[in-house]
Order: sequence, then structure tokens, then C-alpha cells
Amino acid sequence: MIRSLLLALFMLSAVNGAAAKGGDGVVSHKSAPTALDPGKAYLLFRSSTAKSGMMNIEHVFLRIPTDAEIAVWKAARQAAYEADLPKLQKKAKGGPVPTIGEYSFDYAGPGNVFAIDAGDFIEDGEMRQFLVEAPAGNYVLYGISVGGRGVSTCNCLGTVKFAATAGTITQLGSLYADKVHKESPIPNLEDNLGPSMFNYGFILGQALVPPDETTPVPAALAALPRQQAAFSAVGLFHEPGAPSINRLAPIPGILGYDRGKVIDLRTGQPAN
Amino acid sequence: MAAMLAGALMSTPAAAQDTRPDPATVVIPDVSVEQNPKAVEDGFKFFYFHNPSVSFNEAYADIAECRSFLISGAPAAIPGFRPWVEPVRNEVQRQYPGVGLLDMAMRSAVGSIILPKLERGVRNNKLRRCMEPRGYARYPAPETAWDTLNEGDEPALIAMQAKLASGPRPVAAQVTE
Repeated sequence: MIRSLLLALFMLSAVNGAAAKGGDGVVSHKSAPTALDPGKAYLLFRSSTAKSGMMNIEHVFLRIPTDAEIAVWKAARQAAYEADLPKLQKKAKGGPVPTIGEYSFDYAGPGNVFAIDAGDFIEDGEMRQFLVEAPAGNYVLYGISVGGRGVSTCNCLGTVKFAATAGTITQLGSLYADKVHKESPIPNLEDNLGPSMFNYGFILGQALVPPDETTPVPAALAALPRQQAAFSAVGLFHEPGAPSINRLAPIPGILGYDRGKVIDLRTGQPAN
Repeated sequence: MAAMLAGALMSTPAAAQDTRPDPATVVIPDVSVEQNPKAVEDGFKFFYFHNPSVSFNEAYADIAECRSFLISGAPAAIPGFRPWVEPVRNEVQRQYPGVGLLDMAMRSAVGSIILPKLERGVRNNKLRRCMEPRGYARYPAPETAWDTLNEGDEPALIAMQAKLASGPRPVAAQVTE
């Protein structure tokens, strides 16, 4: 009983927050466009369809922000910090006042982290096909979400990134995700991590099988410009708001692990 | 870029080396459980890590790196902005959702009992996922010893855990569940 309550609360804690999915400039197509917008990138991927209870398990992407976006964020944080400084000093009661790096800042600007709604597919099936219109840039497979409104598990212990260029479809291959405390029916995951991992919360896992010439493409997209994503390994990162941490499953020739180190298998060197 | 992010929350290796104590000076709590079946039974809750193939310094680095993931913040809402070059530090305004009776329960005496268990479980899961691929196994510890190993000055408790992790192989059986 307590375990069930804890699980429910834990799940809800991860989804508490924004009222809408999708990042700024991110649109999931439910039908094939007749032509591509030359100013937009397009992500095409197949995905498993696992659920947790009634909630979809969804993939979370991060677009690495541009220098200009980071500068705007920093300026907004600086302004908010300066405005709040009198309150912070009063609250500190003579003690140490939080530095700007410690300052809790809610940014209202455009987002770069988003989940893809599992219902917004372009082609249904055991592996659904998704076509996502998004800003051009470099993307990270950031983690997994239960319900799509909060990061439930980050790939903080290792993942991959890829570039998505404007005016073409970037084919990512096949993405898989599920709970992984026990053996999952979803293939390719690092699963069966131990039943007690499930006592106080979810741990989810994600896997990627990169595209090759045999990867199915929806017929309606076959004539549109398309390129296969080039993946590279990403090292450790922190997401303090994620209730659990994991790593993307190893990918032959691309992503490996040596104890805690993330290895870029293209070079054999630790990933940055 | 990710390394910058990680570095922002972790000690640099050089800095950590400078502050690492001589393991001979590190006092560790008694973790024996031979006469304590309850501690063995609760080993999935209260445990420490051990790896027969690491030195004290290696264990210290591993534990420090993995414990850096215990820093928690407000739920990471989607969509949202992450600068990537540095971690976002949002305070936990309210970790659990406001859903009427449930919310009231979490603020009540019941909540005060459940929340620490929940937090311990979340922290244990993070540490396990980070430490176990590095070759560490779990061994049961009495709850009082676990408290000593996990609450207090961060460098001191990392040193205690590192001494245990790199010390003699524990007598107790591994925690496997």
C-alpha cells in the first residue's frame, strides 16, 4: 500500500510543472508534409510504445542552445538576481547570501528541452514513426519522461548527440524506452537492474539503434530530402530536476562505457 | 561541454587530491551485521559499496563523482530551458504535487514519515546506477552506521565510504535484491 502510494507520488512529482508539451518551434507532424521548410530541421525516428500504467513513456530531447540564447538566459538571470538581492539578503539574516550560481531562477524564455508526445505519430505500428519539425541545431538524447511533462530519468551517465540541419530530414533510427528495474519486453535496453530499484521510484532506460539502409521510412516521406544522423558520445552531465539517472544503452561503434567513463567508440577516447 | 557541466558540480581531480585525507586517519563506523539479522534483511535500504580492485583514491573519486548526482532541484518541467553550459539550480519549492487530500497527506505527520524514506530510496537508486557499473557491490550496514556514512560533512563521509569501499572484503553477503 505504502509502496503504491510512494510510486504514485513519485511519478506525479516528475510530471508536476508545465501544462504543455513540446518545445518552442517544435511540431510533431501527423501527416506527411508535401515539402520541407528550408528554415526548419526535421527529425524522423521510430519508437517503441511502452507505457507506465496509463501514461506514455516518451523520449526527451535537448537542443544545445546557441551562444546568443545562453547570453539572453544569463542576462535574464542576472536581472532577476539583482531584483531579488534585497530579499535574499533579508532572508539570509546576516549569513551568506546565495551567489548567482546558487540563485534559484525560473526562466520564462523559450525552451530547448522537450518530449515528443507518443500520440503525435505520423505512422502507427508496433514501432511508431515520428516526424518532428524543430529548429536546426545540435541535439542530445537527454532522457525519458513518463507522461511527457517532466524529465523522469535523465541520460546523465552517458548519451549521444547529433546535428540536425535545416531543409532536410535527419533520420535517427529506432528509439526504445521502458522501465528497467526488471526485464523489459522492449528490446535493446539495459534492463533487469534489480527489483529494489522500483521500491521508491521509477528508473527508466533508453536505447538507440542508429539508422541504416534497411530502416523503414514512411512511403509518403521517401521522396523528401533525407540524411542519416551522425551520432557522437556525450559524457556525464547533471540534471538536478530528474528523480532518477541512467545512461543510454551502449551502441556498437558509437557509445561505450569503461567503468564510469563514457567512451566515444569512434575514437576510443573518453567523451566530452 | 558536458564535462563543463559536470565540472561545475564536482571537485576537480586536482582539488580533490589536495583535500583527500590519509585513509589511515579516517575513522569508520562498525558495519558488521553478523549478529544483526534485521540489518541483513534491510540491506537494500541501508548499505555501503565495496570493490576489491580499487585503491582508496580511486574509490574516493568514484564516490565523489556519483554523489554529485544527489544534488536535487525542482522537477525538470517540459518544455523548459537548460543552458547546457552549466546546471540549472532551482530550489525545490514543493517536491510533491498539490492534489487535494494527497497533498494534505504529504504535509501531515504521515508525510513526514514517508518523505525521508522516499528521498533515501531516490538517492540510493542514483548511487546504485552510478556505482554498480564501476564494479562496486552493495553490502548491508546497520542503520546507525548508514546514518554516520551518509549524513554530515560531505568530504568526511566520502572519505569514510571510500575507506570501506577499498578496504578488506566484507564478511557479510552481498545485497542482491
